[in-house]
Amino acid sequence: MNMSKKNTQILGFGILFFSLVQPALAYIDAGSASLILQGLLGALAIFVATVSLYWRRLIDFLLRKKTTLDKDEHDKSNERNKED
Amino acid sequence: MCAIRREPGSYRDSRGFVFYDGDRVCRSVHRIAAADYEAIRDSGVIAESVRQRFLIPTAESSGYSELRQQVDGAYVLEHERIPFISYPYEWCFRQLKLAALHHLEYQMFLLSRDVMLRDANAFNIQFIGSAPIFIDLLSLAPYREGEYWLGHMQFCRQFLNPLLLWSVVGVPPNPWLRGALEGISSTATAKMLPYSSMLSWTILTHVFVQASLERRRAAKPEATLSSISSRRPLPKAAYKGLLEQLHRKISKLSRKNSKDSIWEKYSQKNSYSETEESTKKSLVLNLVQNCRPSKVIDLGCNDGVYSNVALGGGAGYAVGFDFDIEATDRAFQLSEQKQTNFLPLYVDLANPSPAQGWMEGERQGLRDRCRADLVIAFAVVHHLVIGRNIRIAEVVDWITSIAPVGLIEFVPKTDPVIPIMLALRDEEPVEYTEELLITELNRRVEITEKTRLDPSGRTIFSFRRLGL
Repeated sequence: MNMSKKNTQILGFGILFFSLVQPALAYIDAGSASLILQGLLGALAIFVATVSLYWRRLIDFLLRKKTTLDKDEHDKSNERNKED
Repeated sequence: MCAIRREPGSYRDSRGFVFYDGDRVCRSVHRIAAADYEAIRDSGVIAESVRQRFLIPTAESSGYSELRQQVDGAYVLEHERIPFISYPYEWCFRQLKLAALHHLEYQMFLLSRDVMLRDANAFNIQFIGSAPIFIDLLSLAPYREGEYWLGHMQFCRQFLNPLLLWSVVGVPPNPWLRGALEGISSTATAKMLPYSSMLSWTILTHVFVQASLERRRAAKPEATLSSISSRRPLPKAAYKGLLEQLHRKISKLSRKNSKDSIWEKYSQKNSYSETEESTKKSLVLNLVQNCRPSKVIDLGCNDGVYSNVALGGGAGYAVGFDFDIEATDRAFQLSEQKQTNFLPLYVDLANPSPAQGWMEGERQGLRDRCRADLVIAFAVVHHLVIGRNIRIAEVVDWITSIAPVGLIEFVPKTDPVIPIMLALRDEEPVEYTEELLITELNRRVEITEKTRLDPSGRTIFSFRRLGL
């Protein structure tokens, strides 16, 4: 067997080995998928909490504005009634 | 060294181990775990856990100084003994569901007191009658802000995924759990659940997304580990939210296609009359009143009618086995409703749970756990002999080894159930006669009473071990 044929065989076996072998950490890693999932759910929970906080503030702001407008309208109407 | 026996299954935690001293069940808490244990104990969490029936009653023992020196143990705790150790693969749907909810409720209770559970091993929950109880005190650890739920994957594998298979697909996971002590992976579960189940947010995230992350981990382990090492802290509210989300989902799960099984209503629909049933009940009652057993084992218990008679007559605790999981579920729900000391388990007597796990000692086989003061074997022998071709001598050998006294029923070949069992059999069944049963009983025990049930022609033999 000449050297170039042997090298080709070794290279072929090498490619085959690395394409078939299982990732080394696949069986020593106990729960990384679970931790990433919790991280994602935790981040999502923070996002939802933040959005709902700002949403509530926006609603409060709009309601306050509306209440103020209504109050102004009510005051004006009262004043008009007094004038009458 | 004291005359103690270390529990072979208690090897995973380097912070301590369980050992037995005669009938006493003790746990060594090693010095490396002492500070955590003291902090939790001094906060009153352990006492409160016991009071609220989350945790098995536990007390510190002042003895075992020699043992403590040898294993660098700081404390020895003594636990109340569980009457019968059972395993998740022997549980019916309701038992697995209750155990899962117990785990989550205990976690929520602990988290509100800044304590967490380090794992979610289903074997850490046992049943006393129908009540689940947590037994592994060393799983408790102080909670530090931002910490992740380290037992989450284990919870999914051992509780959530098996329950989903049962509830969504309609397949009992017991044989799988028996073969896979670590539980059922999210990857495998995702392959079996229908795509429509993704409409549930809990199933989508805890099964499908987790399965996808598991695949990513397998493909790119280094990238996965680096993303974990740079992870943000998990807020306590999010941790609590995870527990509550799973609790809500599991609370709503029910068995799919829970139709009546062949044996589920056996105690209502059977081939013998009410008079015969009342005779059997009075035989159980008389024997219980005579020998006052603290533990009864009921083989082929069905919905537990005779176990309940035994308990009513003064027996301390009853464990029943049945190979029909629907009947086991029904028996458990009856036990739960009546709050009795009856624990029904799913067991095929011809293929009982084996000794398995590390060195085949981590989980005990059924035979090693099957010790009682009284055994009831009604309508069992013909199933094993005619149905499973087991020799009558071996069946008698096993039944009489369980308890020193007991009741065995012989069902004659004229009984309507026998032709049904033989209908599709072409081979010659092993020898099955009343005379042979009597001969084999006489070789091992003393027959104290023989009662013929009319009109079915069934016979009940009361026996006791020779020399008693």
